[in-house]
Formats: sequence, C-alpha cells, structure tokens
Amino acid sequence: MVLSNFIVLEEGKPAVMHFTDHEIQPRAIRDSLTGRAKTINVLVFQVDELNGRAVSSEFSITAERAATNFTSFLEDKSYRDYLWTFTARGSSFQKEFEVIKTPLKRG
Amino acid sequence: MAQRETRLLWEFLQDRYPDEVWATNVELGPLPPEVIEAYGVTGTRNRLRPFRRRIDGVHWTPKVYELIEAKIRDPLPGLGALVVYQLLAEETPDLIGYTGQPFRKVLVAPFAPEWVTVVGRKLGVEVVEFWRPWIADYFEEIQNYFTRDYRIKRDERKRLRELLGVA
Repeated sequence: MVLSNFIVLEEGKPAVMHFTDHEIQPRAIRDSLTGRAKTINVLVFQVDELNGRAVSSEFSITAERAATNFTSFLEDKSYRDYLWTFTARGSSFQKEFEVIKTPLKRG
Repeated sequence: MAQRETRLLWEFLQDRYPDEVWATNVELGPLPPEVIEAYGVTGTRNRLRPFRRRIDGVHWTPKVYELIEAKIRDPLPGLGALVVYQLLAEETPDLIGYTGQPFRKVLVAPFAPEWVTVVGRKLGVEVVEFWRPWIADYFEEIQNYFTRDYRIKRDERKRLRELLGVA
C-alpha cells in the first residue's frame, strides 16, 4: 500500500481512482485574489485505489460545479461501483476536469 | 457549460447508462501532425488545450459512439454544436474510446418543443427529454428574476452597494 495523504492531480495526467466513502468538510482557505480568509465546503472522497495500486488517501473536490455532479452518487454511495478517471486541464479559474466513469468489473 | 447543465448531463448518463463507460468534458478537434511530431500527442494536446472545443459528454460501446450535449433553457445552441462536434470528432486523433464506430448525436433537454424534435430529426440529432424535479426549482428561480418584485430588490441591493462603496 502506498502512503499519500492527499491526491493532487497533475495537469494533463489522468488519475484513476476508486472511492470508498465521502464527507463534506468545511475548510478555511485564503482567497488568492482578495487575500481574505473564508470557509468553504469541500467534497472529500476516501480513496483506496489509485492507478491500479492500493492506497489510503483522500481526494478533495473544492469546485462546487464538479462536486454538484456527484449529487446523484452521494446519497447511496453508488460511486463505489465505479472507477473514476480525473484529468485536470488548465489552472485556477480556467481549470477544467475531464471525468471518465468506468463500472467496476465484478467477477 | 453551466453548472446545472453539467448536473443534468451526469444524471442523464447515470440513468441511461448506469453500467457502462462514459466521459464528460471531452476535448475535440484535430491535432496538427507537425506539432505531434515535435511534442507527441500528449504534449500537443496540452499545448493546444485552450483552442480546442469540449463536448459535454460521450458514451461508447463497440457498436456506436454517442456525442452528447445537455441544454436546459435553450436547445438551439446544442443542436448546432452537435453538428460541428461530429465534424470535429471525425478529426480527433485522441478521442477516448473511439475505434471507428459510427457516431450518434444526442441532445438532452428537460423538454423539447416540437420545432426542436423536427429540426433534430433533420440534423440527425436524437432529442431526449429528461426531467428532474430540481429543474422546476431552477425555472421558478429564473422566472422570478424578471419579475417586478425581484427587480426592486435587485435595485435596492445595487443602491446599497454603491452607498457602502462595495460595488
């Protein structure tokens, strides 16, 4: 098992993840433009597999737009039934995510 | 793509293809061979990212490749975009999951007036009506946006902002 507490996406590099659980966490951040401190809600997934390797890690989604997409998966935690490939492109406000959902093969 | 349209798309994909592979926010468009020669496919893709178009979603099987756009308020840009996106998809060397399947264009909307269905048929676009309860709240919200009461409240907020110097 690889120890890495947080998964950080590298631009243009796909990360294939399996989520086991999630929670919405309040986080205090400093706005990079205004310099002001504020609290935001972050969707945090527990990750047990990253690019085919077992890990014990977390993947956070701060973008409300990206987090909203998971709405229908959160209630019953059905995100567990899939592998999620995230590829980040661009940075800051220009950041975009390509997301691929792949059903887990069950033997 | 607006936040609510992304949500509509995700819910549609999950409803229609719960056990299949799909992808969202997918880049489309040709990559110049001379740039690929210099930087490889990934390098070229990264360099040209800001100039490429993105389709809302794609879904594929060995038999068909679906190009999907979701529109909530106005389906017209979705119809037009799909025609262009198919032309781009045909020229996209790094299109995920594409192995030469025939393309199918799909427009997802909460409801489709008759003209959308008719034009969709002529353009070869399958128009899918897909409704979710939260869309009613959204329509109510935007409907109120243009009412007298809302305009008064908005003007009051604007006046206060100017007064307090926080515009």
